[in-house]
Amino acid sequence: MSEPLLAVDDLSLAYGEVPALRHVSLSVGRGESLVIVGESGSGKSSLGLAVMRLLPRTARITSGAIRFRGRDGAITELAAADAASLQRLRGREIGMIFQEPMTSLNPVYRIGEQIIEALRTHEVLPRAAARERAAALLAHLGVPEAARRMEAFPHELSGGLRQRVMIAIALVCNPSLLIADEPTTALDVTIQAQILELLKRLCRERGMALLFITHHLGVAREVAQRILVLYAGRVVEVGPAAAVIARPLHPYTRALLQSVPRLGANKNQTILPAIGGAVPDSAHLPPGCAFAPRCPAFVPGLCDRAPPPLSAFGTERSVRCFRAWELAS
Amino acid sequence: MLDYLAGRFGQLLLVLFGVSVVVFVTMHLLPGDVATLLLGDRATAASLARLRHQLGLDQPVIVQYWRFLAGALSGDFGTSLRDNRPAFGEVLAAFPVTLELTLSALLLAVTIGVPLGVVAALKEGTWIDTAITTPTLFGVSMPVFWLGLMALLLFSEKLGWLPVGGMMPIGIHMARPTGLSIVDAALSGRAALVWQAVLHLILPAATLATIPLALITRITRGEMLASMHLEYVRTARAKGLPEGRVIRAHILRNALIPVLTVIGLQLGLLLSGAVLTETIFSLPGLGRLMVDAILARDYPVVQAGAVFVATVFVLVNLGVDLCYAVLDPRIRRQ
Ligand SMILES: Nc1ncnc2c1ncn2[C@@H]1O[C@H](COP(=O)(O)OP(=O)(O)O)[C@@H](O)[C@H]1O
Ligand code: SF4
Ligand SMILES: [Mg+2]
Repeated sequence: MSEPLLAVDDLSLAYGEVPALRHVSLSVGRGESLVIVGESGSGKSSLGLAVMRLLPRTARITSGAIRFRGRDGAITELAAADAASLQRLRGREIGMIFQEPMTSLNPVYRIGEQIIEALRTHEVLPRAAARERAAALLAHLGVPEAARRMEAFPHELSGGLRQRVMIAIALVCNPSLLIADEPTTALDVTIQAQILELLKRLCRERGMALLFITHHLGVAREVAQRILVLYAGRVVEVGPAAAVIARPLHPYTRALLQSVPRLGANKNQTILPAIGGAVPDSAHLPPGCAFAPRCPAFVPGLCDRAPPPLSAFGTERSVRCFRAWELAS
Repeated sequence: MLDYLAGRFGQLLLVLFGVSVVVFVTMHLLPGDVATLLLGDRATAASLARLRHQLGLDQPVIVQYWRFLAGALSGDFGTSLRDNRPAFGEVLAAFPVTLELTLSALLLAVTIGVPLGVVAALKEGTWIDTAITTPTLFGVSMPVFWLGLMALLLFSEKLGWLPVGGMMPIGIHMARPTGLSIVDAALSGRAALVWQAVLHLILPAATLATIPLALITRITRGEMLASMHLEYVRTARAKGLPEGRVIRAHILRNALIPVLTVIGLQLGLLLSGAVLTETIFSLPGLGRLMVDAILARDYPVVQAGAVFVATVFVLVNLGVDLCYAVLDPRIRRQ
């Protein structure tokens, strides 16, 4: 990728003194979909929010850069950007949707109003025109009777419809990147599949890039072109989705694949029955490989001395495991 | 929405009926016979009986209540036992003074309290926050009577900046078409009178506003802090809204809903506070009228006043509830 849309470089982030991301690098090309996978607490949301610079006040970016290439070709370093440039990019060039469509919408405004607000923040156009565009977008997103639904309040809609409204808010200005943080986790299985299908279609139609966050590899495989696996705030594996799923390199990725087989099963899975244990306390990582205490391939004297580096595996893949080569053959 | 209104109206009638019963019973359970009180110890049995008959006191209690209720419905509570003027008329004449005092106090409390609460929340944990919140701790527990007297002593007696009491300097006469002194002064077209009316209102209104001001500041701050970290606020920022709009349209807008409830609840406190305030500052309002009437056993005036205050209170609460329904769409469907 010669000219990525988004390039995160060596990003570290801490809540107070407790690190949540450690030297994370990734890139997303134009129109590409990258899925971040990891158990709850691995730092996925922090990563998404860092790109939007919507982190809570207690969070500090301690190293690294987040470069975003705007429509005009200019690159903005988001980690150091001022409020004005962030406001210009948010909602206009980068959209974001969240896990809880109920609480993510303001309960006191009609949904049409909330979509129009996003549109009119970035584009100068008359109310009537904005309303028309919002309704057309809702209809396009599969909301029945869109014009009438514009008058509804969030509590009058189902979870699936609310998430479509969130998508409309995020997409109404045609952003080139959509960040979706577990957008289907709170939804029923059938609705989940519909929303994933919808997101895929939208990316295709608009040439929009997708940074999709999930703890569920089954969901990841539905939308991903590339997959990045996060463990305890570190990238442990990254590569093309098909290759990662067909032949995972990191023991953690393998465990994820074994424990969450299909979309829809194990809806809120956070522990891995195949390996047991939980993500280590981020303040006290083991001295060697962070996955060592849970790893079936752990070798004393090798894995517990220093953290393994993220190393290239072929041209398109990387993995953070001392034994990846050995295990792959 | 119509069902909601109808339901609220039914509630209103019920409350008023309850109030009428309570007022009636209280006045008739008060120790001492009204006729004896009015005529004195040396009245003859015949004159006492005549007066009781005049007042209807020789009728069965149910009949008395029925007459009271029928009269009340048409605004007729009988005549004052002190000066024979219609009791309800006296209440109506005194009400504008109380209304002006209460509204000014409320206006002060809201226009100062809400911005203070917002600033304290936005500057949470800084010295600005502390400087705003610490005084409100004392403010909520301030005895109105003591505060009023202290203010009077300091600003009027000692410093001489503000008038000691009343509504206008002695000797000034103006037409009183509305009974609201500032409005009447404005209608008279004399700027000096408006100024005088405002000067006379400052101390009583500020005294009465102290507790609600402190409460509104605290509630606004608390509600702002509570809504600040909600997910829809994050959505608002994710849209790229300027921070000012995020605060106004999303944080404050939602925080104001509970603040409004508190304001509604404050009105009861304001009305009772007005009684004390009017007494301290010699204002001829409803509070003063009621106190005087109770001391003189002028029960038609007391009854008229109590029913009137209850009606105002219930109507105001209805108004607050309606605002609430407008502000919070989730209420409307219930
Ligand atoms: N607001 C916060 N304050 C303190 N710690 C936080 C906060 N948000 C997240 N964390 C911590 O940061 C780590 C990563 O959290 P998060 O990014 O939410 O992970 P994920 O989205 O993968 O579940 C976790 O250890 C979590 O406890
Ligand atoms: S480095 Fe060792 S402990 Fe870590 S994942 Fe690889 S094999 Fe397991
Ligand atoms: Mg998360």
